[in-house]
Amino acid sequence: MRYYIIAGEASGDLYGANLIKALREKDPQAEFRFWGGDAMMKETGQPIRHIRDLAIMGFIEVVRHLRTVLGNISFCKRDILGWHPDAVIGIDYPGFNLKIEKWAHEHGIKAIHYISPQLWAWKKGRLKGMRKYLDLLCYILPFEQQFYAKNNLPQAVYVGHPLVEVVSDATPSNDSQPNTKHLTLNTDKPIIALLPGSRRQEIKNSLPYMVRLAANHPEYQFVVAGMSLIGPDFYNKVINSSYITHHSSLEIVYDQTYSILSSAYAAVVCSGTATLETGLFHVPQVVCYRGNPISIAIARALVGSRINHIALVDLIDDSNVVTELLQQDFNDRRLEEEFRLITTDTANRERMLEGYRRVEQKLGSTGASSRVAENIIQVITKTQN
Amino acid sequence: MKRLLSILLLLLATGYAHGENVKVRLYSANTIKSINISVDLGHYNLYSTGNGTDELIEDMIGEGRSVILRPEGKKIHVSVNETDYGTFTSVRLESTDTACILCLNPENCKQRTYEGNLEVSLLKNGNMFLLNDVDFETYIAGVVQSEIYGNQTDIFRVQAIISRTWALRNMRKHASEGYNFCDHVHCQAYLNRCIRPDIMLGAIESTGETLVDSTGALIETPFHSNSGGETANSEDVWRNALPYLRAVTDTFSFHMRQSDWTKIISRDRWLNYFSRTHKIDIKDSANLDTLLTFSQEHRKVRLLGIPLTRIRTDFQLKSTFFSVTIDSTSNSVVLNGHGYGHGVGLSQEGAIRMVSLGIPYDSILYHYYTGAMLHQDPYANPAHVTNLIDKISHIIEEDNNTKTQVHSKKDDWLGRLFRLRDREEREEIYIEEEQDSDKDWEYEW
Repeated sequence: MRYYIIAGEASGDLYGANLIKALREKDPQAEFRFWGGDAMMKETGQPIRHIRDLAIMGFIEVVRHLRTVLGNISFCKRDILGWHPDAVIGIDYPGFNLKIEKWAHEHGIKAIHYISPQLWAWKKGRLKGMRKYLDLLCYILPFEQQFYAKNNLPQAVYVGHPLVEVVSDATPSNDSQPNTKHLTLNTDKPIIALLPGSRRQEIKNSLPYMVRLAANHPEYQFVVAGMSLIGPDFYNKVINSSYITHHSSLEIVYDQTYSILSSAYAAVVCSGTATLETGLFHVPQVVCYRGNPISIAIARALVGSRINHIALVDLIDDSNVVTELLQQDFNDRRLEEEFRLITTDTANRERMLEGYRRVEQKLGSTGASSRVAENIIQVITKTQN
Repeated sequence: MKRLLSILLLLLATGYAHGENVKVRLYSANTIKSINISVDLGHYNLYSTGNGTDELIEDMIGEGRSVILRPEGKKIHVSVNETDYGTFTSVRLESTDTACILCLNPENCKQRTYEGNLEVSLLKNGNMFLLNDVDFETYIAGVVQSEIYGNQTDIFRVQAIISRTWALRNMRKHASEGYNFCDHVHCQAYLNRCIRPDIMLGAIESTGETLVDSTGALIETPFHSNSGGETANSEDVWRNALPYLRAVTDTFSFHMRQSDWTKIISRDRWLNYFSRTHKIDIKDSANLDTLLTFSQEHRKVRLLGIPLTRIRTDFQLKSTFFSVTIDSTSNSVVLNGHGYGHGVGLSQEGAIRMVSLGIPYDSILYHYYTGAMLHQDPYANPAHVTNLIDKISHIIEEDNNTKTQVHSKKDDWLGRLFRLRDREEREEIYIEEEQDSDKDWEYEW
């Protein structure tokens, strides 16, 4: 069967790669055409569009790049029509994927969405369209089960979180995985992982604070988890314009986030999937996020008081497992205070690690990709039969 | 011999290319009725200076001897070791050597020591007017000691550069009053001579270094104790916007002695101040809310249109960088503040932290003075400076090896430096004599 997969971000790329593997196991004749990144490329050749050209988040950013977004949508539709897939599988990236999936459904192609948009937080109005146009929705967070049951979306299936298997594969005990190679840093100092995000806007907003934190703590080795698709020039520019980088306690290591996390004593993480990854690696963290204030104001107005947390680990456990520094709270002073708590306060570190263990229990076992593949094949073959 | 003489000269003029003494008014913030002056090191001549020409009153007043000065009518009564010398309009104690220290004990004021000369006259109100006529670089070292704490040479170097730059730019600040600077924070604190060799070392290492702008002109170099995490724009505190005095993020000022402060004020006093002094309508709920919940993530300039600098002065706050919360149990407002001082230019505690992190002294200066450049005076003599640095370093090393604090006047670093000089001088004479005798021998032969 022919699978047209669209991943718009780094995390989607990773899950997409695992999904391709799982589909191939169950459907050896599977053919793929995809939008994604390096991980998916390793599985199945060149992407139609690379994620480095796609990552946009927030209202203002979308408006700024509207022409590009609209251009990509019409290009994608033409490309799908030309290839005749059995299914279009959108991974996360809802602003783009839901539009394509609706269109695909209307053109008789199975529309599948993997990783549900956060409808329980905002844009609940999307439910109606998703109920109508999606043939399968695979959601990954345990607390979403209640939401979909309540809102009558029969095509929604809980598959477990794909990160569990990704992180499990990347643990140092499993040497066969490329990500498990240890960092080759010439230091005896404890390593602090800095995860400034996967989008340029996020990096620009968060990395300067992290750099200033590092400047004040030569007792640690700070390692920025860089992404080669963003490019060293961009990171270096942000770092050099941030502050005095006088000592060698700040390094950028590219495309080895899991190696960094597996060696880290603590982490500063820009909110997103990385918070859960950091939790699954049992690394105490400060979560921070600073976005365009207008985007955030709109988001707050839409979300209201429905959710209390932004970090995934907090959402899953519905408690304050980690400290979240958002917008004006994400400042040098608060970051310094919270950093001291996660590095020097043993009781605080232990409390956080206990929270991570609860999160792991709630996420359950590995095998999300396999379950997604199983459901996709079932949906396609059911119609064909 | 020439080299040694140069070192001696350098001690008084440590590379200060302009080569002149400055006059600093001492105890400028105090009222001095009478004073006991003793010689701690070297010898002084005492002159009467009131009649246009200097007349010697007593010469070679040495260590342990005291000069007592007190007003008598419109003149100063002088006695030296209980011997009366009469009354004079003004007097001058002039050092006869390069290493001379006076110990000043004014009535009701703290004792201080100074190098250089001392001029004493009477003000119209009958109080004493003391001027220290001292080498510029010796003055700078005293300022550095008074203005900053720390134990790493580079922090003293940083302070010396900004103090020197400020002093050179403001040399005529008190010209109309007959002196250059006062010893108070109005100019720069100069509360004693420099008694620590490590501070002197930092000052000497910076010989001839100043901060200039892109046109080569000396810049204003304001500094303060602690920025609280962010410095202020010059125009937010004073009138002029200067391109090199821009607000900068300063996380190096976190977690230092003066990083944070709290002040509790009764709610009524706080609100009445705005209502009565600034005619703010506190019955307006928006105004009331602003006054009771004012917060600063970054430095702000005004609160309800009132300059924070004014509020700082009126409530004697450590800084303008504060936020307000309400303590309903005590019916008070709590001001949680950051930093100490006006916030413009260099944060001294931030600089101390940066030095401890190994950041070079020039990078520290560039961090706080945006776009400024370090200028090295081409007339400063590096060979002499290097020589002096070596000697003071040797003294510091000796101190570190003995691991005991040097307290006695005999062991003062200046005295030791001169004993070192004497020893070298003797050795040099000995070598010269030996060479002479060799020549004699050659001649005889």
